[in-house]
Amino acid sequence: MMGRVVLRRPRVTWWAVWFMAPACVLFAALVLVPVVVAVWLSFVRWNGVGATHFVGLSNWSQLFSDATAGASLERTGILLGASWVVQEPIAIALGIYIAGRQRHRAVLSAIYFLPLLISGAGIGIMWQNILSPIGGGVQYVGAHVSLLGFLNKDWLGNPNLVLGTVVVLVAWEFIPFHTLLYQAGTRGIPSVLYEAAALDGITPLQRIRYITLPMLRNTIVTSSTLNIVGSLTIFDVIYTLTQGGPGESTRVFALDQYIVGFNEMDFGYGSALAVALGIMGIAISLVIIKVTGFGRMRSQAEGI
Amino acid sequence: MRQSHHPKHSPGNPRPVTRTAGAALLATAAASLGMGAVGLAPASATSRNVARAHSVAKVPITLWTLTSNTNEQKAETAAINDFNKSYPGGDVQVDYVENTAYKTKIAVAMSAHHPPTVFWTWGGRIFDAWAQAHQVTPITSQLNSDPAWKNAYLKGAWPLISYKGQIYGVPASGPGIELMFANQAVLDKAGVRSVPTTWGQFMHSAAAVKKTGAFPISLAGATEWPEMIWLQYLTLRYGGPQVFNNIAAGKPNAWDNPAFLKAAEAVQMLAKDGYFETGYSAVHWSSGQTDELMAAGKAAFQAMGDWDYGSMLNVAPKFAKSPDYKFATFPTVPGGLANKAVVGEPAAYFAIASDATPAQKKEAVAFLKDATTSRAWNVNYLEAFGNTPEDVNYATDLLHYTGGKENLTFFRMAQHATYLQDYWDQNLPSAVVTPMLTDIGELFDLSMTPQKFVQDMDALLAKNG
Repeated sequence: MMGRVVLRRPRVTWWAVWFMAPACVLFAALVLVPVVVAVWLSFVRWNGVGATHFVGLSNWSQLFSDATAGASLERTGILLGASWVVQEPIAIALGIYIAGRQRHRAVLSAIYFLPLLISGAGIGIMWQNILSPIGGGVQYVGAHVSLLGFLNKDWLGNPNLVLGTVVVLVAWEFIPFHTLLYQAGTRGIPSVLYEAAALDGITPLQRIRYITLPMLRNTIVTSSTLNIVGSLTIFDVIYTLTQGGPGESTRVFALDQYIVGFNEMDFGYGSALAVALGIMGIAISLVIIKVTGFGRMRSQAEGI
Repeated sequence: MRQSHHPKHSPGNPRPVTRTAGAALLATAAASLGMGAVGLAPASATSRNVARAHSVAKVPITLWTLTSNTNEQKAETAAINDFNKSYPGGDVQVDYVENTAYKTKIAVAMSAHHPPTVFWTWGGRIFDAWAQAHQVTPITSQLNSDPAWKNAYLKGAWPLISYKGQIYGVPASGPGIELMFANQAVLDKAGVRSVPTTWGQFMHSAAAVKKTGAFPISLAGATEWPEMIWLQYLTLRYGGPQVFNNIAAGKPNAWDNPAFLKAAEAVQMLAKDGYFETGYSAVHWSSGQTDELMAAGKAAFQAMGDWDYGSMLNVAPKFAKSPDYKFATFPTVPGGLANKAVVGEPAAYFAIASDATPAQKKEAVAFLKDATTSRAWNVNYLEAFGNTPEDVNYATDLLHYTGGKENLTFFRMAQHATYLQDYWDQNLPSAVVTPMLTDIGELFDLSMTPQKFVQDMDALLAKNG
């Protein structure tokens, strides 16, 4: 037995591993186990009652010939593209605006961040009522204020309009979050850059074009990645707003997976859809990181 | 036709690893989807009443029931409190679950082996699967040894909650039937004297109502099953019970039947003529908006279950009690094969899950008997909610309450119907029901033709046969 107890410089010893154990256990139980089970379920047939039957790749081959899944993937693609196009420019503009430290900007942003505090499910139910064709506020205003007549449409009931409605509501829900990212990004830009440019007699628009936007490059990549992967898996707001309807007109891929699994009680095929969605999410993130060079983590403030 | 989804070997046989892993996934998935705490152990109630001498240890059991109506909840809570006081150790803890979410919630809880002790069910196909897998507890012997208890319910109620000769539950509510409701004040304006009884008269009245500027029909299209009422009744009227019996039996091309196609064309005609309220595809039944439309005199008809009466009492009590709120059997069709048949269920049920201790099961059986035959559950319910009783001994009590005459009529209609056809969505495999409801939604918003519907559904039937 060693007699010396006090170490001058503490070494990391074996028992330190125990400090990581809670995090590891939680990660394994809440992330790894469900993922492994989902992958395994994607190779079986199980209706939720009784035992499972191993069916090999049949769930996976079904996936490639399933017209409903194909159409829902297409809707996810539309939602994803439209969300990015709608949300990012608005979020960048707002983020730069509220990065200023004037009081009115702080007040505005405090109000503007409200949707961020409401859960997706709450947003879905709230808007379902606001947009309802019976007693809903939006159509009422459209019918009674001639200037706003364009609002008098069947926003949730018309199969041709409803996906657009979803895009707008998702934007309403998530723009505040992306704005927050851009606000932080803008505030992180060193003021020396602006001071140097001011000496050169730069206009406010040129400030944004040549300093702010280039300096926000990493923030744009982060925000876009979160935006795209988020759109890919968005579920709660659509589920509570339309349940994928009318018909299948808002049945995006994540909803299709839920409906197959939990309504049709086909957990095997539902898991195959879930795993496919997971793979797509990872693949898209990897592509974005690769293409943008984000993974190299080069600072934009190099040399300052 | 569901066999292929079911284990070929005895359900008690086990693949423990498989099941536990599946359960873990389900529980995690359910939690992450915010579906509520599936099967969380009920809070222990042991600390209460510890001081009371000789008190029996409490045996907590959980109860899930499908009740979104607050009047109804009050009546049920009172009955549950009575039981908790009278039964030694009684501790029934109730969860009121919303209609739309219920089917999924209970199915997931059963799959994850974390079911409530006692739960509400419509019986039928979905229930058979649980009985086959021994996930529910038979109570045949208890019922047979207590004839007074067994005879308290309608005889026609047992088949839906039985599987292979065993009975798995008791009626928790009276019979429910689907009817045509109407606002006579709207009909008067259109010169229609009474609720039409034939389809020809109905179409004629609807056209007359449309001319007055009101909507002929109030329809909760976003919920889809209210649309199914129209389709199911018309199919039943045109083709008789056999059309759906063939579908339920999984016979090839069973949907491709002239009676069904005629029914589908008839409902599409209603949509094309603009007989439903504007935006019906986005209207949810649980919002009460279709009842509001009728009560406000903006719509004339609504095909709905007799529970619309209770809903109307909740949404628009004044209108519900007025003589303008009328109902009639669904219109007949010329030469129809089932003009007197009724769509409905003899009861909805309470059943007991297998995942419970013997003490919990004993308490659950006592609860089933005491609660469902209690005056509180039957009569207070009527008073608060206006509904049919499950215990036949209380049927005449109906007359003492608001709407009692109407509810007694519903009760007798179910009791004496020449043929009572169960709701389509309760009598098909889950893998068929969901796409069927989605496609019905598309039929009604005219984005799918009847022929495409028949093609889709027959293909699905073949796959699940």
